[in-house]
Amino acid sequence: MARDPAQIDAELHALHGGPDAARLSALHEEALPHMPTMQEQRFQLTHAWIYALVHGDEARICKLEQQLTDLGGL
Amino acid sequence: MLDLASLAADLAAVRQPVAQAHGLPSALYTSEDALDLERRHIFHGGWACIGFGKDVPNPGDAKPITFLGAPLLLVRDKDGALNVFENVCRHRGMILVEEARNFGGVIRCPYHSWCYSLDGRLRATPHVGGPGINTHEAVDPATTGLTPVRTGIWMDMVFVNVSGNAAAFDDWIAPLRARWSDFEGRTIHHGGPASSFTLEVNCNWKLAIENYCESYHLPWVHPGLNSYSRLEDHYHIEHPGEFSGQGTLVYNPQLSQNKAFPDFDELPEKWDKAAEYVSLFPNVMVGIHRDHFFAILLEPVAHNRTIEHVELYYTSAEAATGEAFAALRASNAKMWKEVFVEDIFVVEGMQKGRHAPKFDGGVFSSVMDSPTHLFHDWVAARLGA
Ligand code: FES
Ligand SMILES: [Fe+2]
Repeated sequence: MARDPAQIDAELHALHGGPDAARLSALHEEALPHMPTMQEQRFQLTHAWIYALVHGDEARICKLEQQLTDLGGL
Repeated sequence: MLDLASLAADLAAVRQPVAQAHGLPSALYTSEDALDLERRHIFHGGWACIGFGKDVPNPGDAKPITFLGAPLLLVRDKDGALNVFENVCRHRGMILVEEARNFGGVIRCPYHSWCYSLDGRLRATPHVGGPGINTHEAVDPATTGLTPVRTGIWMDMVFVNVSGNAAAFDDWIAPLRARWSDFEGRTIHHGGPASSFTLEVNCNWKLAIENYCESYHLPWVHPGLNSYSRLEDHYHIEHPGEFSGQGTLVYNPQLSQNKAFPDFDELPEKWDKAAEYVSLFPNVMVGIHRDHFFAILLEPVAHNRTIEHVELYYTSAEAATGEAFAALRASNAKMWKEVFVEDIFVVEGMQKGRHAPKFDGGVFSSVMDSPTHLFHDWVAARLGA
């Protein structure tokens, strides 16, 4: 079941600055459907992508880069 | 303040033949400005040792090192190659890595999250073209990677040339490499945490080097060493412009009655009894034996304070990390630590002595002190004399 955006936001804040890049990346991706505009989605995707890069997850990086390219973010 | 006019005259006196020469002037030991001068002309202007490969053993390991003010970053990339970069983000100059750690992916700048691959390439520039726009024509990743620092590695020691304009590393290291060609191509194995220690000494870095160059002090300062190594059994090692030191003809380790470290395979016979101790200018002191190697990296913290980083290496993984050799490794580290600690009162005493107003740098014994003079001569030359 999809979580409330406030819950996602709370977890993002709790993990901010911490070492769990994989989780941060996943949270930004989870927030995506809650974003009403393309610009806001692209913003979330950018963060999901950066934390996937930090984590070093090649498959996720590839997928997110494709999505970003599609939205004009790369 | 350094008086540059009198410094020039004093340095010229250093460059005389050993029997007539004076030692380096005291201002180079007692003034803060001297270290600044040496930083430019010696440490950053040439090749100097900043660390060890074993400091970053695994892919993704990174270790920040501040080298006389310059923030550097030692990084082992995914393919195992070791690189040194300036530890600074190419965007607004933020320090990138504050403490040693492993990176599973990219190195992310904590400021605006520009990301760098472990090989230094600029990998991501989030929002650089506006929110969610992650590229911009004016920021070219091909020219905006981490700034590489010229690096060379030999015997696990990591050397850098910060200025970028010294001779090629291979040419610079060639003479010592040739001298120790019997050890060329051998893998050395670090003995682990118990084979690593530091000593903090209240002296100028040069005093540690010049004390290490010579065997003259052995009978007076290291009576234990001298019991199996008489002054007569030592010889000078002198290579102008790069290194000097001493060798012994009677190396005979006696750490244990019934156990010894394995030797490197098939060494020429001369190493059965020989060992050599060399100061590689400016800041590393090394010792080679048939069964182990050590390096002492000098970190000049201030003009009157130096940290000695001592690292011991062995000839095989078993000797370096095997439980069967743990006690022997501990004895060896303890033995060397005692020897190096015995030198502290001398180098600290010379630091105090350098404040005597009329001390003129001292005279040399042309028989016993020529390796020391060779180092002084090198410093003088590097400072422009
Ligand atoms: S200073 Fe590093 S991203 Fe801005
Ligand atoms: Fe000594």
